[in-house]
Amino acid sequence: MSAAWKNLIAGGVVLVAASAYPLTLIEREWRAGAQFAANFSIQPEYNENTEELNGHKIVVTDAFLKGQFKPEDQVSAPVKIFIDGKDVSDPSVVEIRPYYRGANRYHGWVVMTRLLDKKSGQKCIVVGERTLGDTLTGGKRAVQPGTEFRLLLVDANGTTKEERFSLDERASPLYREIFVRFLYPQSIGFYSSVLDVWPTLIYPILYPMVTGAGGFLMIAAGVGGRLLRAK
Amino acid sequence: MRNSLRLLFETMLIPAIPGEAVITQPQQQYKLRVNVPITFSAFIPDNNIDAPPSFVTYAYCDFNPCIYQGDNRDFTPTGTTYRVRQQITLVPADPAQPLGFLAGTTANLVQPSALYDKLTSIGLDGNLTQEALADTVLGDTVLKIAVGTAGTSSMNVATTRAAPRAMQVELSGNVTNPIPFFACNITWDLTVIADGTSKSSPIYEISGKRGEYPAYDMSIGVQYLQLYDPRPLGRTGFSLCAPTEPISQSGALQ
Repeated sequence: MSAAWKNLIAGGVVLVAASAYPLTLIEREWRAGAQFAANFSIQPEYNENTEELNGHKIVVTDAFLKGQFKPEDQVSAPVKIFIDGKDVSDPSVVEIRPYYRGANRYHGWVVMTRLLDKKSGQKCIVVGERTLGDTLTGGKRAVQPGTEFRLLLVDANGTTKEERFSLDERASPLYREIFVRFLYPQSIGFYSSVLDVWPTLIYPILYPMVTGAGGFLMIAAGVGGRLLRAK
Repeated sequence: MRNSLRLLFETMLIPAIPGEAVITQPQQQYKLRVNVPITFSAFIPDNNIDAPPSFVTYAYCDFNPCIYQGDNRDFTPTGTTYRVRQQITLVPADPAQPLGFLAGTTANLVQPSALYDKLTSIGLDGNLTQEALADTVLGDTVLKIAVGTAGTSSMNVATTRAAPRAMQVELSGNVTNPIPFFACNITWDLTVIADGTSKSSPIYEISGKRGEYPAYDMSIGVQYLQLYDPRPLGRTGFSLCAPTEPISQSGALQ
């Protein structure tokens, strides 16, 4: 093998090796996303904080429905969640935008959506909540470290299932992560944030995509050239 | 005068916005307003989004975690934050307005982009802190590092009369993130038709294409439309580099 072919292959191996890890992470995110899309679909409720499924009513509310508020106002308080009139609220404090109705009122803290399991055809309503365990001290939110999430899944029979999980447990089962997208203030993926960036020329275009593809081509050209030369 | 108009509107059971006239005809529930304001916006729902290395502009962020500020809101007709926004007020059925839109109502708007050091700018709850938002010392390595405002030269609002009582407006743009050397763009090219041909049931039609990120909304007349949300589909900032997708929506214009 001539030195030129060897150098080409070696250069390709270096590029592929350097690009392999982020490419693996990207591929895993894409695979998880495709798996979610094949199995589930969700439909958020943007306009109301009330949902009904098969006669079962789910209401998310708070103590600031009356009063004069400005768009920039925020208040710290727990939200109240009622399922068929039964209080299933968590005492954790969230940020409420009392001026707004609908999804923007609890943006980043509470979300209400419909979840469809495409395989079984079952529908349910999901209320997701970010529960930091924060408390009110002198009217101000005392922030606790750590982020936890709570999902209330209400099926067509009115049966309610509660899931509590940490940020690290967001991808199992997969649907959890899609709710976390509504509840976590930063764009975040299933297993990593490798796709959750504002893309630039350097990342992810030049690195790892171009470097990975270029390295692969260099290896192929080097091996191909060597084989042709041998013939 | 305003009170008289309000009384007239209430009497005719037509929803009214103070100061806005409504075309009415006897014995018909003709709903088309003289003015059809349109506001289209693209916004990042998250509070913040990661900023990858660019190796050209801010060296600190090439080796340390940095973030861009998002618009931190959900779909709402009164949303005040956005990346880009286009506005125009059509008057499709007013013979006194031969242009079909009100002069001076066309606007191409962008809000500034801001880059922050992640370690010093994020609070325990994951949001940008008030201290970071208020930071005015730029070019350093703590809190807010840089601010930039994208150009509006690629944004276009073009009107044509589609029919005697229908106006068509093309809303388009290809706006980049102004802070890094090169970034994938927010892209859209929409055609909106406000059609008052049918006096009893005026309609709107939206067609064209838009990028897979960020979220898009539109107010047309008094209606608010959630055009596209990337979150249920698991789409992220990475999707800014993806090809555009078709969009098609229509309904009654009120």
